[in-house]
Amino acid sequence: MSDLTLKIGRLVLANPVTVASGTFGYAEEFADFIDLNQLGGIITKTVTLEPRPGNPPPRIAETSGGMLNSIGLPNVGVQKFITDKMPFLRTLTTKIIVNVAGKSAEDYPEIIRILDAVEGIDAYELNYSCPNVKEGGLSFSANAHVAESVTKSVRAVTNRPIIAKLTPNVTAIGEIGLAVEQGGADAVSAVNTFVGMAIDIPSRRPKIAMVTAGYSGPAIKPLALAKVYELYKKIHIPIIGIGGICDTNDAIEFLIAGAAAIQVGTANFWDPCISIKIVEGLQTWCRQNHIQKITELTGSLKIK
Amino acid sequence: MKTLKKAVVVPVLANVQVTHDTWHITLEDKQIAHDSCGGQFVNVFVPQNNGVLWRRPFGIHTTDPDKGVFTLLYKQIGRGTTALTTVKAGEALDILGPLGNCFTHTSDLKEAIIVAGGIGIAPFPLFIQHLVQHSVKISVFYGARSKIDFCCLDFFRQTGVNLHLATEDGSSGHKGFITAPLLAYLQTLPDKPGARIYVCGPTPMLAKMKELCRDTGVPAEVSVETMMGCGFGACMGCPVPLENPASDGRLYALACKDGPVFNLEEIRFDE
Ligand SMILES: Cc1cc2nc3c(=O)[nH]c(=O)nc-3n(C[C@H](O)[C@H](O)[C@H](O)COP(=O)(O)OP(=O)(O)OC[C@H]3O[C@@H](n4cnc5c(N)ncnc54)[C@H](O)[C@@H]3O)c2cc1C
Ligand SMILES: Cc1cc2nc3c(=O)[nH]c(=O)nc-3n(C[C@H](O)[C@H](O)[C@H](O)COP(=O)(O)O)c2cc1C
Ligand code: FES
Repeated sequence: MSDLTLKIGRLVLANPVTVASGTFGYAEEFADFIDLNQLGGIITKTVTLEPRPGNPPPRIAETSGGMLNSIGLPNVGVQKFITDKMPFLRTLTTKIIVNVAGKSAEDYPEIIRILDAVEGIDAYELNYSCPNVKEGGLSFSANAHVAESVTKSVRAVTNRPIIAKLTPNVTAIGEIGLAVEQGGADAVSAVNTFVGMAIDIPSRRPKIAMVTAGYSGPAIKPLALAKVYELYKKIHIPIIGIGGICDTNDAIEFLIAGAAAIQVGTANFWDPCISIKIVEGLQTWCRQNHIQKITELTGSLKIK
Repeated sequence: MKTLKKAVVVPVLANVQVTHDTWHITLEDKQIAHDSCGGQFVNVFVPQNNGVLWRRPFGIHTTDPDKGVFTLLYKQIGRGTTALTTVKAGEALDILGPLGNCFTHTSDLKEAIIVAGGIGIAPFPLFIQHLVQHSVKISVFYGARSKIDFCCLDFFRQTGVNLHLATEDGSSGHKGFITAPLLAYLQTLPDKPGARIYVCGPTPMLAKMKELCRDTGVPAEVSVETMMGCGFGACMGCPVPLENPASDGRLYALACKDGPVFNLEEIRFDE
């Protein structure tokens, strides 16, 4: 058996395979299909201070090799998250990472303060980057100063590990990565969705009610991989790689490019068992390739 | 009863074309054949997928629990359903199911009035299989564009349901929409309190049905169709606008998780 464990700051994951926010519900949706405790970690659907109804339909559209979504962060709000969703999550032994988003910069420390009193949360992922919310989100990680100061304000109210989730829709993602590192983030996760669009020709209407949307799935993998590599060259904290990961080889590519762990997103939708298959696939691949510790892979890209 | 959702690879026993654009596929799985109820669906992974990413949802059409088989009735409309027509007996399909909820059958039900438009007929035979075992009177109002579009007419004749047909081109039954003969029927219905309508069809028909049910006071359930990214509550891509905010403040229900069957009066079709 190869050693698949790794550390994200003080957070120890049993293996590098986690599941991406918004693609795994609150884990209960997958309980019939897989043994959730075999995962390295679970990142929950974004929670906000107040409940949000989400966007009108159509919210999703399929394109060749990818999908567009403008879901609009529907969620029950932090209080109901604690009473309705946490009890199930607490029964799990895998790491629970709660993803949060704010309407304003002040929302972030406030929501973290509320969650910090709750048992069973192992880390936070700060969603700075969701392009689907009118109020912003995107703005928090599109600007290095804002990203740094929001991270600092969260760092000031919690000792739990913080992971800053970055948008790829910026010119220099490395600069944003450095800023959140300076703000006290323990890790970054990259990337969130790319801004995209699709049009229904007969009606000339956008295929998504909100017109533009977040693009994800296999089609974004090369783009996401390049962002992870760019971050790896620039920052010193661990990177959790996200974007179009559909099988074991995809996951390994992200590790080689510099990721310490990965998140499986859109692929969960067509194969709810895919995350576990990747955990098993990594174990097999490491054994076959005589990799003792999975951490040896991170950033092992060879450029002659 | 909570049935376990599952991901399984099931043998294909037959896949036959039944009309110019509609196919009937027979699949083998004991649990799904045994546990499913009318209204539920399976989400099918499309082989040779030409860039198709999501699974495709189809209502469970009939089941044979003794033989451990179930069937789907599907209309060829795009990439996924076209790929599905190439699947052959002896091959296997990767499916999730059974998913979603069922049409309700309460003990006071005396007459089930089934209203289907086009391929909206697909989920009803399973429900009818169940109802005939409970001696409920069954009336079926089935509308299609033309005579050549009708499916399962033999099934309806064998089950002895009270069948009403309509076609837009007048090639069979009433000429026009099925809602016209339905309205006439409802106006003369002697036992309204024991009757319930079950409807599945294109959105304009559902909007019309909503009006009709409000006017006649007969309660109705509807099976809705939306885009589905996952089919099991993970993507939140299948919202159904609610007429009034739910008790927890939600403005939308999820078709795959809270449905696909809803009380017609609870949902809106204008978006
Ligand atoms: C719960 C549920 C049960 C269903 N049961 C059946 C069934 O028993 N038999 C059956 O034939 N069909 C059923 N459908 C519809 C079926 O899922 C779609 O026809 C199928 O997914 C189309 O796939 P495709 O790849 O061939 O079409 P695509 O190439 O994906 O699409 C062709 C065109 O149809 C539109 N479209 C596709 N799916 C939908 C949708 N769900 N809502 C609105 N527009 C759509 C697309 O935007 C596009 O314009 C059901 C749908 C749901 C949600
Ligand atoms: C339907 C859908 C909903 C999403 N919701 C969220 C969300 O609530 N919060 C968040 O941080 N990211 C959300 N994401 C982004 C994913 O977590 C992930 O970053 C992105 O999809 C890229 O990975 P993938 O290509 O593997 O899906 C969502 C993605 C999809 C497809
Ligand atoms: S289809 Fe994904 S939540 Fe309903």
